[in-house]
Amino acid sequence: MVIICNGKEQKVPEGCTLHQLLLQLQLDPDTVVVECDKQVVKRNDYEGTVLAEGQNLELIRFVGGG
Amino acid sequence: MLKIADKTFRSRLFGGTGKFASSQVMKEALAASGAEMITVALRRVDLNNPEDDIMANLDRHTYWFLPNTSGARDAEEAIRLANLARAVGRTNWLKLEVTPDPRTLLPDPVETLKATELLVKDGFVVLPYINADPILALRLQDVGAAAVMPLGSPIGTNQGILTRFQVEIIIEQARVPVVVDAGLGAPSHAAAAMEMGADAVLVNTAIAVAGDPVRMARAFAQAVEAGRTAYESGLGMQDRQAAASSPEVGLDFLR
Repeated sequence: MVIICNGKEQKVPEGCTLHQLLLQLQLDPDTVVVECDKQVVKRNDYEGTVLAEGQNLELIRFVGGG
Repeated sequence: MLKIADKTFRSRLFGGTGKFASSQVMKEALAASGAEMITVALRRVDLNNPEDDIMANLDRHTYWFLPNTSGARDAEEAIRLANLARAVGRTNWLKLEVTPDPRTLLPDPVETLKATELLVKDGFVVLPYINADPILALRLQDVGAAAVMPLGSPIGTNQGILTRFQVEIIIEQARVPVVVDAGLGAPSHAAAAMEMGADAVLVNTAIAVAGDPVRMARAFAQAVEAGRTAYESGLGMQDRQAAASSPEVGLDFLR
């Protein structure tokens, strides 16, 4: 199935959890925050969140800034 | 010791983490600056560069993170960024920045006040970045800002404190710490802010883009310390009339 991840289409297997997606993308779940359809997902919920077709995810993290 | 909300800081120099040539230089410069509080921004993960993670280079136990809402153009965008910052950083501290005009990056006072009020009610410790407006600074304190961060000059311009008169009034009236932020381009600017009685300064660009950022960080640290010591020591009054430093008596033998 296909979801939108940071504005781009991303293929993920059926039943894929948010936690699995982050690992697939080589991201540290500890330093990335996820907005799913504009709602912030709590870090404790990453493993229990099963992705659904067409969901819009924003993966955000800290970068250098003043 | 500087106290903001419930936290105390030994260093009155806050560091920024933007614009450094490399993570290594950033790490060394921050260490040389002695900063305990550092700002970070929030952006989309670059999925082509998943290993590019600033948190891999900064120790959460060494630094107190102050996420900013840079890029927000109104209160709504700032609040969305604030909630993301709280989720990613496990901190409820926030440097609130609302800058609708990309040319000047001057903060929007109306949206900043609105966002501060809502965020404070939602449990955030809010440090708003503001133009050096004494009335706005008071209004922000009234709605619960933990500190105010008036600008010396626009972000990244290195022009120093062009807002001296207003910053002095803000400091005089303040019931919360005043952190002079933005535009401090040289250690002397930072020292001047501290001599005026600012509680702290935030410096990013001037250190990050220096020929030698590590040594420049050290220079800023020294300037902040010198300026603070001078303020605490009580500066002499300025006068338009000269007053000799050497005795005026005992010159009879010359005439």
